Order: sequence, then C-alpha cells, then structure tokens
Amino acid sequence: MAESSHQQLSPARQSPQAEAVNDLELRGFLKGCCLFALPLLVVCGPPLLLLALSGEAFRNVAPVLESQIRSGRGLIGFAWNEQNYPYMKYAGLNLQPRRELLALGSSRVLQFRQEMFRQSFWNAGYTIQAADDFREFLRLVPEDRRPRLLLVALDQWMFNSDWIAAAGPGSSGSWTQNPSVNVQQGLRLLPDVISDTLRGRISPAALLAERSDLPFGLNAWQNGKGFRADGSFDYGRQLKQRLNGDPRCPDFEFAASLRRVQQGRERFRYGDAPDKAALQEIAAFLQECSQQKIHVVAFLPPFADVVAEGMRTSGRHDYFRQLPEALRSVFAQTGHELHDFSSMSACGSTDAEAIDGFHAGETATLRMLIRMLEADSRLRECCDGDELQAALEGAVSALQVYATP
Amino acid sequence: MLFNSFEFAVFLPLMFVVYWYLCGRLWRLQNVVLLSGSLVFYGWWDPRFLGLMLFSAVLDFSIGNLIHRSQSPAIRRGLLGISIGVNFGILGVFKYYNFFAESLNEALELCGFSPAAARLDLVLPVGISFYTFQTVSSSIDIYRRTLTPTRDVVAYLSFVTFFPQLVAGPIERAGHLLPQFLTSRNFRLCDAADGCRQALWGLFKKVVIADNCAALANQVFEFPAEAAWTSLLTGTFLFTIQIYCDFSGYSDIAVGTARLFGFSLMQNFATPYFSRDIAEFWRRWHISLSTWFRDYVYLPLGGSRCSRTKMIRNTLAVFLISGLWHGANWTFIVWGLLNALYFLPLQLRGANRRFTSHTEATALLPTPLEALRIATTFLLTMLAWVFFRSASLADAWTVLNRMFRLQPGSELNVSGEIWLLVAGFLLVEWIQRGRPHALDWGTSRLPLWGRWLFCYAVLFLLLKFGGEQQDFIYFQF
Repeated sequence: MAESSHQQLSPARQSPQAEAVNDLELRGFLKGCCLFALPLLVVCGPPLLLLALSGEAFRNVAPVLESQIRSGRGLIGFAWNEQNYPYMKYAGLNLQPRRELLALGSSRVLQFRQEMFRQSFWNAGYTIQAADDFREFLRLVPEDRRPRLLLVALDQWMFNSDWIAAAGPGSSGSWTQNPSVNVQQGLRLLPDVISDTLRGRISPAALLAERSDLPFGLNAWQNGKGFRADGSFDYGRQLKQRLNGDPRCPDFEFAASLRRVQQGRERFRYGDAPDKAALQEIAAFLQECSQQKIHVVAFLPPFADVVAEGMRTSGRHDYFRQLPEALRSVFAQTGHELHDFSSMSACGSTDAEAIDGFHAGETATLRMLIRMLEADSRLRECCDGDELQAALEGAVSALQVYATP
Repeated sequence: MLFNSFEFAVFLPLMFVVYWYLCGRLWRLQNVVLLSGSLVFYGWWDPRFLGLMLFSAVLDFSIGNLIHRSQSPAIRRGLLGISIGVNFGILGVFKYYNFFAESLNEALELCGFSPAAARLDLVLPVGISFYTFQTVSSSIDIYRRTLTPTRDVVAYLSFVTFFPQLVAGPIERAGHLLPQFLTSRNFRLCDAADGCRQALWGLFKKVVIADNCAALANQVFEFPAEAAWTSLLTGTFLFTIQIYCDFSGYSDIAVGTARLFGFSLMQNFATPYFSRDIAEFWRRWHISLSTWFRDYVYLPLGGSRCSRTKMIRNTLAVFLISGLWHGANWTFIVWGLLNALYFLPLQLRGANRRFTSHTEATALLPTPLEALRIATTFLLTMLAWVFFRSASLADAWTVLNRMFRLQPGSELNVSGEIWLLVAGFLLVEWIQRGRPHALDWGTSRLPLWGRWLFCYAVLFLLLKFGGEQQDFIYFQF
C-alpha cells in the first residue's frame, strides 16, 4: 500500500465531473429505493395502520391497562400478541391495592368475575403453564399485594410428564417483561394480518364502528373478545357462535378436542401416572402458602363431559383418572382445599355450558363456585350464596351469567 | 447494535444520508462520520469497551509509524513484539485467562494440589478477536515492508472500527481496506443496489434460516442425554445449517452494507457446504480467517515447503490455534484437531489443492461422484460441529455415543415449514453457487420485475418466518 502517495494524490473532494456522476447515480438509487418501497407501502401500510390503531401492536399496553383498572371499563384483547397477557396480569396486580382474593391459573380460571365476590378480587388467570409457575409467581408478588385467599385451577396436563417435557419451561420470566413495546414483534404480524384481511377474517371497518367498551387490541375490536377490568375474560362473539351452533366456532362440537384425545396430541398427550415432581411442587407451593398465611382453594377444572369420558376410556390417559386421588393425598393435612370438577357434570352442569372442550363457561363456573360453597369452602367469607344462586337463575345465557361488562 | 435489530434499521439510513449528503463528498469528513457512527454502533452494546478498542487501534497506529521510521532491525522487532504482545495480551486476559486458570486448577487437583489460579469475573468484549487480528496484521505487514503506514489517525481508526465488519468480520487486511479510507469514494448505483440485495439475503439467512434452526438445535444440545438418536442427528444437521447461515449471513450484511458506503470488503464464504473435500471446504469457509492464519502463522512456520514432520506440525498448529480462536474451551480445540485430521491425509498425498474452482458450476446437477464427495465432506463437517456446539467434551461424547448407538429418547418435532425453508435455501444457494451471493443476478436474463418479485418474496419470508431475535454466534468469538 502506498499510503503517502494516496495522501498526496487524493484531493480533499472529488472533481466536479465525478461529483455530477455520483449525484446522478445517487438520485437513481434513491429513485429505485422509492419505487421498490412503493408497492410495499401500498401492501403493508394499511395493515400497519390497522395494527397500530387497534392497539394490537406498536403501542404500550401498560398505560391502557392502568386506565382500564382505574375506570373499571374497557376490554383488552389481542388477536396475535397473546404474549402480552402474562405481563398484563402481573402488572395489573401491582397497579391495585391488595386484593383479598386472587384467581390463579391458566385460561381455565378466567371466568371468575368480581361480580361473584363481595370482597376485592383480581383474576390473574393466563399466567400459569406449569406446576412450577405457582411458587415462582407468588414469590414475585410484593408482600403488600399478596392475597388472603387463592383460588387455584390445577390443569390436569400440568401433571402429565409427557406434556411437561413437550411444553418446556413454564411462564416464569414472561410476567415482568412488557412485550407490547417490541416493534419487531409487530412487524412479524404483517403477513398474518394481510392474509387474514384477504380471507375476510379481519374487517378494517370494525375499527370505525362506534363502541362503548373501549376496546384495545384487534380481538377486542373485531370480536369483542378480551380481558375486562377485573382480569376476567370475555369471549365476545365466540359465545354467540357457540350458542347459535355456528360451525365456525372454535372446537365446534368438541371435535378438535376429541381428535387430540384420540391421537394423544397437545394438552391431551398420553400419560400413565401423575408426574411425581409436579405433585411435589404443588406440595411445596401449599407449604409456602401456609407460611404466608394464604389459604388455597384449589380445583381441577372441567373438561366437556364427552372429552373427559374420552380420556377416561382411552386406556392411555391413566394419569387423568389417578390425578384426583394423588392430589387429595397432597392436600390432606395441609388445611388447604381441593375440589374435583374434572368434568362438566361434576360441576352440576352439562356440555351446553362449555365454551369448548376444556373451558367451562361463566354459568358452569358459577355452578362450580356454588358447589364449593356448599362444600363449606373458605370462599364463603367473600361470597353470598343466595346472591349467587339468584344470579344463576337469572343468567343471561348458558354461557354467560352477568351482562357485559 | 445487531444487524437484525430495529435500531440498526434506523441507524443505517441515517448514516447513509449524513455520509453522502451532508459531508459534501469530502472524504476526510466522511471518515469522521464513519468513525463516529462506528463508535455509536459498538458503544450501543457496551460503551465501556470503546476505550479498549481505541487503545488497541491507537497503539497499532503509533507502533506502525514507528516501525516504518526506524531503520534498526532490533528496534523494529521490539516494536512489533510490543504490538503483538499487548494485543494478544489483552485478548488473552479477556478471552483465555479463565480457561487456562481453570485448566491449570483441574490439572493441579488431579495431581493432589490445591487450586492456584483465581477466576476473574470478566466480560468478553464483542468482536475483540476480529479487531485484534486486524490491527496486529497491519503492524506485521508494516514490519514486513509490504505496507506503508498512514499518518491519518482518523482514517486508521475508521479502518479498525468500520461498523459493518467490526464485530464479526470479515477480518480485513490493512492493505486492502485502509487505502479505501484514504481516497474519495464513488457512489455506484449497481454496487449499492447489489449491496442491498446481498444484505437482504444475509438477513434472510440469519433471521429466517439460522434463528429458526437455532431454536430447534438448542433443544437438542441443551439436554443431549435425553434426546433420541434421530433428534441428535436432526439437531446436528440443523446446527450445521444454522452456523453457516448465521455467520455467512452476517458477512453478507457486512459486505452489502459496506458497498452502500462505497467500500469493498473481501468475500468471506463461497458456498462451503458444496465442497468436494475438506481442503476445499477450508478455502471456502471463513476465508478471511483462513487466509490470515495462512499468511501470519502457517507460512512463517515454514508452510508446506519443509520436511513432512514440520509440515504436519504447521498444519496441526494452524488448526489448533484456529480452534482456540473460536473459543476458550476444549471443545473448540478438539474441533480444530478433528479438522486437522481430516485435512492432513489430503495434504500428505498432495491432494489438498485438487478442487480450486467451482468446476461443477457449469452443470445443473453434480455428477454422482461429485455428489458423493460433497455428501461425505458435509457429513464430516457435521461430525466436527458436534464438538463446536456442545457445552463440554462430555456433552459432545454423549451426543456422538447416543447417535451412533441409535439410542431412543425424546423426539424433536421439526415442522414441515422448516424443512421446506431449509431445502429451498439450499436449492437457491446451489443454483447461485458460482456467484458472490445468492441474489447476485449477474448476466441473468431474469427481467427487472422478476428480480423485484424475488426480493419481495424474501422480504415476505423475513416477516413471516423470522425466528426469535438471537445474537450472531460469532459475536462471542
């Protein structure tokens, strides 16, 4: 390299002719970039706008959640960004004064509502995936926010070794990080938004409609589906579809769930016996709750009767049959409660009150609660049995007790 | 700052505008802009280590000039010794101290003594192996009188810290890159457009192929003792694809980005997985590092123009050092050794330069013999990657043991989409194997709209299948 010659020969700037050529090429490049970007803007611009306006992406959910809790109004429901939910639930708990009663579990605990209880309540459902998560979550809750009573749903698959291995680590770590501000996460949704719009699944016009429920997130806008101010979940349009026997309803006639049971897939994987480590983990969780003077009311949430029957008779889901007994021995002598509602009939309900193969509707959930009270549960301290019975009799539909919100 | 991050998507256009429009084509001012931008780019990760990098660069700038001015061989040698000693000393402390300390302690414990070396709590500065090699090579070249040092400190610092290749290469030689900082740069439309396409393909390789393969390979290599042999085989294959796409993807983005600023960087990968023997593989894999070792380690040791014993020693030395360069772990050393064992038989038979060009590039499909050679080379590299990827030698042994003894265990679920993406990617790379990158159209008769459509399709795949954002593997080196 002859650097010194470079330094001597290279002028500080280019000759006018070279600059003119450069300018021309630069202009050509920028023109090319604009032309290349134009179709992208046409195709991607409206979906980006839709995502941003609906609150599905590119917007921080934290201030919206705060305002929802403060006002007691609003619906937050994402069509794709469901990873926001665990954060919302944990953040929601911290945004309020101490709640006397906390519902904790997966999506199967989400039909418990403030209306069912006389004391302060927060539904922290959708936070728990695995047995390990209970203790982890409780440890993260600041002392001045810990409840006196915990209503806990113990999903049966949390005790299936095969599912535990397949599902990987639980939810811990997802509670404290706010993923809604991740721009790349939003950009990744573009292909889905475009294809769903083309298929007619998304109607941009829905955004223009006058709404009183202050929706945030595409699912809340589009389907009236999302979380209420008490942390409970409103299934919105899906309930109407289910009640009207619309075949577009997810898990229509429980066909998808039954198929999974037969094939041993997803949450319905085969399993011989309840996972010992998971049972021990629950025992440790109960012990920690006792130390913190938190009373646990746990229950095995219901499957639709046909689905539960399918698991009982498949011959390959033995863990499901053995689980209530195994858990009873864990709960024995602890002072905490366990209620077995493994099927809709166990709640005094029928499959007509199930949202899908493994989610009970609000009415069935209320029945469950009443049964718990009848079994002399400590929940009596925060419920009025007569009031609940009256609410059940005046239920809006087989899937809904209270009028929204 | 990661190439596959939102921050970089803002940073790059901003740099482009300031560089070409606000500097008025004053190349010295452009160097100042590049230097400032590069420091922001590097400091985004951890500004504490900017000082270390600048110290290393200023030291080599000063030593280079002193070596050039001195006529005394002893002083020149001494100055070079300082440059090499200080640079490799810093590298050694940050990257290798704990490894050697732990190895020493283990050896002492085996002999019944108590541990003697304390472990240091050090963070490895990103890209330290890359910029150290770059600055050391400039000092060596000046010592050898094949390079005249520059007196323009900004140009030299811009060369060392040039953001496209700062943290993961290609490891540029001063003789090739530095002169480009000492003259005015021309904006060439065709270069810039091709650079954009190269960067796009690099991004595709990283975000779509590497990140998706990583998620699956990690599952297997995290708990190898529980995985079935089929999962281990699949996981190793996916890691083989991942590491290539991760690293060559970074290089493609680096080369493409540099071209946007009027710079030409060396090609770092030339479809290495289509090599017909391991010697060809090493001529096509991480070319900037292989040629660095050739010029500054292998040839000074005597290369192949010496006795067979010395030649074997030289080859082993290069591969072992190459292994150690990749990381302070015995797994990397074994990986290097294994590659040396693959390479030596070819070298001893004088067959290591049998395949020096893309001879198969003229045909659509390889001949059966070529296909067999390519497959064999691929399987050998796959086997070596097991050591590279495993957390420890024990883990690597578990992987190989379970794989070869066809042990049952947990199955890895790989979706059809992933297989389709990997197959499609390999097909495009095969078709374009004679070109510097897969989106280099060259003299292709594909019309403009067809080329654009292809680019749109790549963009779509980026959005649709972009995996979870992960660091580039080579950042850790």
